[in-house]
Amino acid sequence: MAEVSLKNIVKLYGDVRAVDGVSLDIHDKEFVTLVGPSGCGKTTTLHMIAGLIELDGGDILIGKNNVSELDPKDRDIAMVFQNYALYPHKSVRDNLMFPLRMRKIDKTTAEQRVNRASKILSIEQLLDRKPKQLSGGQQQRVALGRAIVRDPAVFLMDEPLSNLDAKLRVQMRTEIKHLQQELQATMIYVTHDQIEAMTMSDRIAVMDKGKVQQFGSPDELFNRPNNVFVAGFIGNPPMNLIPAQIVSEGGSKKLRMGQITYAPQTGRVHDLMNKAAGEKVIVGLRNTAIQMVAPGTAGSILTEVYTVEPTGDVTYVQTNIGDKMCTISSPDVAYRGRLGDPLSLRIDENRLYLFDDLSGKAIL
Amino acid sequence: MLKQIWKHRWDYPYLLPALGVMGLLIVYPFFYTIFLSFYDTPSSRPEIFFIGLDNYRELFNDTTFQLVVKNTIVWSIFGTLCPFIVGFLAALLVNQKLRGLNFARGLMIVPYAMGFVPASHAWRWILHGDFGVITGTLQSLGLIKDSIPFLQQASLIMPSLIMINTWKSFPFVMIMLYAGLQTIPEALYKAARIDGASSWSQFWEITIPQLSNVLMVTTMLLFIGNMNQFTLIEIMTGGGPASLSEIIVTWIYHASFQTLRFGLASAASVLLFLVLIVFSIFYVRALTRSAVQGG
Repeated sequence: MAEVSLKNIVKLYGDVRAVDGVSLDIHDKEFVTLVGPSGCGKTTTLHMIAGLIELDGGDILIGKNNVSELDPKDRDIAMVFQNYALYPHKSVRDNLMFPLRMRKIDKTTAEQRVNRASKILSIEQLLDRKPKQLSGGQQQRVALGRAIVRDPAVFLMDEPLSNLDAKLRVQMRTEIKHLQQELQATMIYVTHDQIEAMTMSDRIAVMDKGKVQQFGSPDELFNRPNNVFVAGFIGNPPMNLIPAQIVSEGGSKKLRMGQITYAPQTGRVHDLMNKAAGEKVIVGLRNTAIQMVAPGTAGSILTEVYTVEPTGDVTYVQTNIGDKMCTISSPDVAYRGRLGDPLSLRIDENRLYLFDDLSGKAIL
Repeated sequence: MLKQIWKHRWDYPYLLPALGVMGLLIVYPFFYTIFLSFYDTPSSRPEIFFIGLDNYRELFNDTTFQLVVKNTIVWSIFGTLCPFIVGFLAALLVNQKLRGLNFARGLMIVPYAMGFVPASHAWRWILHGDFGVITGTLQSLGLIKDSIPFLQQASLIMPSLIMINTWKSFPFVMIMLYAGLQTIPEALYKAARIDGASSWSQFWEITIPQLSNVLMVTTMLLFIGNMNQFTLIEIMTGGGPASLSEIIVTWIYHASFQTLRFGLASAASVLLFLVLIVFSIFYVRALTRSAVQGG
């Protein structure tokens, strides 16, 4: 196992900077996820680590070695692909043997490793089948098996769960995380699904437009987002981001969100407003930072119900705050308001974020 | 089943015209050829005479026909192998992501797009011993003194014909295999590169097995097409000189319409049919297998 360092790596496609100076230090035995919307450069970054895509700038170190110029086979990595990329004409056993055979590992050792891997993944009974005869989940296990027989320094996973159905995805999520801990492996995982990223990773790199927007633990990303993009991307439902203006009324600063003028109660929000560079800001509020309160509660704002979405254990209420559709969690799961029902909302100011409207950066 | 047939009883009459045409053009000649192969059909008389297996006996004992069979085997095997190798290499080449390949791809299809008749006529003149452009060029460059009679000299006839068939048929192989290559998922090669496979191993471990059905179908089509190749040989050499380039189909044509031995020609046709049906079975198997496996 080994640490992986990306030093300012760049990939250009014509004028497009697909990967634009990404630097990451990934520790030994760490589970790191690259997450972001499609086209953000996460898969390109992973393929650059694998050596499948050449670098246009920067360096990649695995362990102490600079592998930037090396062939994929010389990088001591294994990769699991989105569509598994199992060799369709080979049996499961031959698929698992293939990387060992290519590396001229003697047959007895190879067979031992294949047996060990198939035991870990409980695919012993599938060894003589062809990939086509397997279900999606089983194919996924074989793909994982082909990666672990090699005992590589680093595992690379390219959206390995996105072809599975929702239920199986949750199950395999648990298994991959368990596997990573059992094997004490360094794992770099790519997904567009922030829940996968949050649940599996030691640290997450959120990417957008070829750049790392923030690199940190799931808690850090959730509770201390660097910018509007990370705030909106991490968390389900996503953070409510409401355009607002800082106005002075009666000698104190207030936040005007559409028709609503909100007078912050705490010094913390006043500090944040004072630090803002311009008048225009974006107010960030998680669904749990807006509470439904009794009508007439001091400091509350008034809105109306747009829709109510019960999910079983949580009931979400959609409402317009300052011309922006926001999602809040009802404290009462059984709440079933109708369109137009009045709502009184109180903002938890300790969990209010302000972002600069122009740069999108968090005001801290 | 019966219920279904009864339900569609008024639909069947619509098939009659097509069935009639097929019957007239395929079924009737097929059985009539088998029938004729047991008869002597003297050109001087209107009657035909039943002679049992005599036509077949004659064929097996005829030294010319033995030469024709030998020619057919050589022609079919090398006429398949050479275009196959050239076409495969061309397919691998055009499958690369290189500049200018679209143009090359288009250019390489030209021989295939050209009709067999004009191409054969053109090559007959290009290869002509006295007036041919190849001999002429080599002579004017001073490389040879005597003309090269490509289509007259025993040792050169078959190689010349096979070369022209290669030129004419390799684009077919190229198109088929190129289409096959395009269906191989890129991810397999990526996985193989990570697994440590060299380009050579990737070719043998991924490309060939993934292409196996297309390879089989292409070879069979080419092989059957070659066994039935009449135009090229008839135009370029007419099977001559001295039957040196005669293959079974041209021989059948000459036996029927030049020497008017319909019975003997029918017997040869039946034999050719039996050989072709065996290859057709392989072909259909390869096709259905590729349909089941999805290539």
